[in-house]
Amino acid sequence: MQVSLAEFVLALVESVRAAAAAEGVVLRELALSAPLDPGPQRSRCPLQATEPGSVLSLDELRRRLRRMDCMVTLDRAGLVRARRERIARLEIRVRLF
Amino acid sequence: MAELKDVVGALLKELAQARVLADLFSRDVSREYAKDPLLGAFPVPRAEIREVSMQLKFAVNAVEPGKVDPHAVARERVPEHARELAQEVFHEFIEKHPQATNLLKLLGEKELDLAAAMESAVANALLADPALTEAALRGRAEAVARAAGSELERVLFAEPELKRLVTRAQRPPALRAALREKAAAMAVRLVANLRDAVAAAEKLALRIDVSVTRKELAEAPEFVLSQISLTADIRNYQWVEAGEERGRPVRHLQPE
Repeated sequence: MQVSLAEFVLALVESVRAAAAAEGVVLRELALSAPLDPGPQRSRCPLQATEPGSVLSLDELRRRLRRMDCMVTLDRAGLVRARRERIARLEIRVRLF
Repeated sequence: MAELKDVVGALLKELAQARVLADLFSRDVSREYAKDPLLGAFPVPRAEIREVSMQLKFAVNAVEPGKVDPHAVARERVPEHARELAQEVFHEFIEKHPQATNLLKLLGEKELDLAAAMESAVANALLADPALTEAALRGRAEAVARAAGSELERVLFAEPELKRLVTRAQRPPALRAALREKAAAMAVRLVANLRDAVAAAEKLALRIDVSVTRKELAEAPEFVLSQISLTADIRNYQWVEAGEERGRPVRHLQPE
């Protein structure tokens, strides 16, 4: 099952932020580390969205994600079936507040 | 299997509840301290959680389109369109009317905020009927225009003296047609805005199903595991006094 990487990351950030706000918690920072299979068109997936150690603002993350045009496999079953050498790891740190 | 946002929400709720338990403990301890002549001189211990740092490991089971409630989106979007329409109508048919001075004087005497009355009548009518939101999402602006136009007429013609003055410049049929035209233009804008907003919300409404329990994760190979790390502030609320009611102070909660 392939999903848009940009939509996945934004949906994850927004849903976690909404869940926290509902409990009276203000999220300051969120870091995500997720394995994914970009498929054969790996070159279209700039997985280095965040340079190691740097933190993006949410606006900057949105801007970078808009430039991404790639469908990826993120689910466990899909990753287990994928060729191991193709699996990459997305690392993103976002400052939310 | 659980939705990621529910797992995070549940963990954060536990933290808030932990603080409630700590406060209840402090209350009970303070009573004991008050009874004891020696402890009474000591400050009562109180735990306070201000910042949270949390790491959560999970495996993504599925990412699927989530559900968007179009009526919730409409509740966010309709009021601003109703406000724009009411202000436009007020400006064009009252403030630019040849009898504007008399009209504004009359509204002052009647203590009638006509723009606000039109705004709330239009917004309420559009939100009260779910079929209108569904029609708007199908691109049917006419139904929305009809409902908004008839509300504008109803409010503008409700007060006989106001109706008499307003219709001096334009006969009622011409005025009705002009109001319908304004409502139709607003309806086209609202329909486009609502459809865009629902489409954008659907993109963000992905449902991320995850496994988080030890048993589930033990069955998953290490390379499929994801992790989120959160740093968060716990918002504290305090009671503040906001005036008096029947001789008693009125208090409400405000973020610190």
